Amino acid sequence: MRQFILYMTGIFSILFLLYVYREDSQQLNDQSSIKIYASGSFISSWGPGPELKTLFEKQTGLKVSFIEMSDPGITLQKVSFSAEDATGDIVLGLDQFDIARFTEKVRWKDISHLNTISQSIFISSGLNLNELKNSDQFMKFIPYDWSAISFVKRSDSNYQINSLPDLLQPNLKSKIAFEDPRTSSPGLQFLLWVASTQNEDQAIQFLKDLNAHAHSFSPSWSTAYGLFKNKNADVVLSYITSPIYHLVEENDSNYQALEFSEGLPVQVEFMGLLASCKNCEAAQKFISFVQSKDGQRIIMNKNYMLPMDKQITEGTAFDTLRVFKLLDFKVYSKEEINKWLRIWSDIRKNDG
Amino acid sequence: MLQAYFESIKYVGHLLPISLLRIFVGYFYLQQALADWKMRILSNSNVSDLIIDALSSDKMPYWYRIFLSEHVIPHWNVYAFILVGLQLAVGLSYLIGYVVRPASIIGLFLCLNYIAIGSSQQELFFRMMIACQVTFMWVGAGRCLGLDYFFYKRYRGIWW
Repeated sequence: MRQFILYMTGIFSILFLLYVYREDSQQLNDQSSIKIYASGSFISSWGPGPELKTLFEKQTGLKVSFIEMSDPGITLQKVSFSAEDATGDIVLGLDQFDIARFTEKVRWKDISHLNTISQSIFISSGLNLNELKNSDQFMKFIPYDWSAISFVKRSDSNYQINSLPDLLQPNLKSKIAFEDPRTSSPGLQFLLWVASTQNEDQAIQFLKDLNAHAHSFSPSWSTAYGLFKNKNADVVLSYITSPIYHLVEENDSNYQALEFSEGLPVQVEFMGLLASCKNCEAAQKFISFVQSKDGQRIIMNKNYMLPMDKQITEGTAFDTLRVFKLLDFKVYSKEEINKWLRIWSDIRKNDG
Repeated sequence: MLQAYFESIKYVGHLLPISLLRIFVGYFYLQQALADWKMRILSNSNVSDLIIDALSSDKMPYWYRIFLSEHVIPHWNVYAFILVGLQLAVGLSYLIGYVVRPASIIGLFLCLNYIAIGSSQQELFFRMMIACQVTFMWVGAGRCLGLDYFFYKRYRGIWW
């Protein structure tokens, strides 16, 4: 037993010494580095993260490291548990629903003075973010890209879809790949799109009919889009910018985002600065950089989302994107979102 | 001591297959400790995703949920350090065959913890690990290809 106690003491003593040594070295590194929470697709080699990092480091001499965020809800919960000890400085990739649902437990720095993108630019983009002005919660976040959500089909398919009820056409049975609103942002956009364009009873009936009609409700956008790409489904719930991806990356113009008479919902991605930031000044520089022309161009080209300033798209494939009728950007309350998610879960449970 | 290490193959050679399994399990624990050291300690990471996910699982015993949310999460840095230390202790013990019997008790509790917070796919794996650790404890797996043989010859007793 004595041997065992000595053994355990030895192990923990060595670990403790390594830990103390690491504290010193980390403090030295922290002087000139910022840590950013971002999604896996954002920081992957094909995403905008690496290019943003390289250019920002070159311009400022500051170091950037990304922390992969599997799910914004879980990440923000972790940040709230860690309080002042949270690792990161900035959170990227929050959409309007994440902000409504998950951000209240975390303390954020007011960065509204860093917002260099003016309301006139939002309007020239065709995006009406007026409602943000009335929301205190959103003033702590800065939008950096956006896209409308729609259904995408191959141009050579013969489906005529002009409104939401058209999705229930008999020839579309088991042909449309949806995303699950409980786990996917486009899926939640669709659910609230239905809820906002019909009265509650009609919307519930529509969702019930759709539940029996859909090809699948995938847990993520990438899974649903994979089904569409592999021709398991003919139509997919996606972004209006998806056809641009095929045009630029694959030189394939056979994809089309559909116009809907109801107007299309809009997904806006925001960034926020944590109140517990370790290197706040450098983090603010990064936030300004993301809004700069260089930053916005990288995000547009790599993330395939529209920049907040429409001028950036001039002379690019994004400039060829047709003008869609958009729904006004709406700020939903946490209760409203949860209510529709509950309705959706009940439909899936009872009729799925 | 080195002589006793190899001599053990001659005298308790029937334990050799279990000792090889012990070394393999030790390697697994060391790998896990190294990964957790890098991720949880060096990068000063926040609370593990696994624990956050686990709190929303119905499977976890109520008292353990309270323990995680009231004690582990508020003092995550300390618990992460202890966890890595225990993994390292068990891993090294299995690898060199030193104090294997008490180390396997710790390993068993680590596996129970993983079962409580892990997903159902991992549950089977950790059940198998528990079976392995009970076997190591039972047969004294450090006595073959391990330093325990040296101490067993000298001191005897149930700890070797």
